Amino acid sequence: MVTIQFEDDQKTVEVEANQTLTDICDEHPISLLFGCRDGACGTCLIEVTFGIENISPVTDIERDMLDVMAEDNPLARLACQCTVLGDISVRTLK
Amino acid sequence: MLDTHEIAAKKPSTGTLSDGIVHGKKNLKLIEVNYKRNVSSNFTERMVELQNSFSYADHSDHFWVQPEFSLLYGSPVYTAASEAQKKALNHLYWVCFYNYSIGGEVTTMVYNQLTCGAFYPLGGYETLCRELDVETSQERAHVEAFRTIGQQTEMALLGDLIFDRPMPNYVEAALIHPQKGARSFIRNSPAQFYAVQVGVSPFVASQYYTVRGLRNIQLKVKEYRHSQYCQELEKAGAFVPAPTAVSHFHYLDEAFHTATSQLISHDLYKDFKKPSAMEIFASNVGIFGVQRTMQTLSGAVPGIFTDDSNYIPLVYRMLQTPLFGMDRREALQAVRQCFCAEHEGFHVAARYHEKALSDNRKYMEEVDYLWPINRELRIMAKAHLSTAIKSNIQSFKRFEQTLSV
Repeated sequence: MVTIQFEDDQKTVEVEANQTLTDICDEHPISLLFGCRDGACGTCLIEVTFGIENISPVTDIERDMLDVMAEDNPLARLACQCTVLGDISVRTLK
Repeated sequence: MLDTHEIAAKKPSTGTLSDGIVHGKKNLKLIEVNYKRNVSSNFTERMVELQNSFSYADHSDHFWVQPEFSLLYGSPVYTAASEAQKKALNHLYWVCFYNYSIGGEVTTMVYNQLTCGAFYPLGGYETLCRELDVETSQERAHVEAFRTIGQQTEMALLGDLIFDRPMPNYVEAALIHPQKGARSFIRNSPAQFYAVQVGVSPFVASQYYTVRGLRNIQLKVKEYRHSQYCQELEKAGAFVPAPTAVSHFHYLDEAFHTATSQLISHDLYKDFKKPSAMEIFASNVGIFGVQRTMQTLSGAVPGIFTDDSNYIPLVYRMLQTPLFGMDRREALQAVRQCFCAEHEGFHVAARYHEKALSDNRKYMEEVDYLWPINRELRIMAKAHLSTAIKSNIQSFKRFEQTLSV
């Protein structure tokens, strides 16, 4: 089991590892919106404030978006592209 | 949501300026990225290939989407159905779901071009207009794939086109019951007023993409599940039916369209001067209108947000085809059971509607100039299981009367 802290919602959930954040958030609704759910729109931009190493590597399509949307932030990710491998804490990036 | 509207310090980075236009730098970059990725993808081409080689018999022995996405799912007819009939109901759900989606695709084809009419003369939005052109041609391919597979499926299963719907024009497609065809000029007039405004006002044009975004997101909530189903089959090395793959590729194609909707509706409008009262009115008319297309639940086709009045006569006909072989009396009784009493299908419908409403409300959080009824999506929020059944009981009574005449 892994622990995910959603800072904006002050909510912590415990789930099985190796699930996508999209599936986890469908199961445990939070305020984060997923738009296209495929790394194209950037709606689900987040900052991983703890445990960045516990998320699957950045995908190529995600990199294109992050280069424009959060080029100076190494903790930025698109939630729809993330598989959770260990404990993390995240918040929405505005 | 990210503020992509990082305005250039002195002069805008690209484009010829018209009065009051200030291009957001990040917007233009993101539009460029989205356009490049869309034109280099081959999802539409894959859909066309699947459509061209589709033969129902080759795919008939498999579920095409998760079983909960089946026509009449959870109803007494579904519970009593054989395995083969359950698969047929699953395939007919796919047909109905995408026939419903065709309305959105048709309006998109037209409004993409209309909004280009408002954006292009401003200068600086050439790539955006090219992206919208690409999306229009993709929408046309989507419609053709849905209709080809849907019609073949109906002919194979029912020997007739029962659920196939006439292609609507863009005004009809924007209405609540497009299956019924054109209404009177007066009743269509809000849609016509809206269409005119979208073609001339950059602000109203940008807010059409709030309308489109709301429809994109409600579709995503369900099609994400279809896409997952496809990926699970692929991962397991199992046979992937062509319609399952079509759903998956459509989902991937629509991701680019969702990105376009997001960028234009949430950020691009900040490029333009403040809207007039008339422009604010027109953009809210559009959002009010799209809410009305999502204000009910279907127990027959869980996952689409239209009421069941149109499906009652169609299901009655379906039950009398060789697929179910009922006589008129049995079919009428079954229709009453499926539409007028609570069953699991209504709960599935309610669950997806709740998710779509929640996502759509988040989508509206950062859109300006909304009427409260639109910001809170109060019309869409009216959908409820009990009102859906109550409405079906009335529709069923009216339908029953037409039979006894």
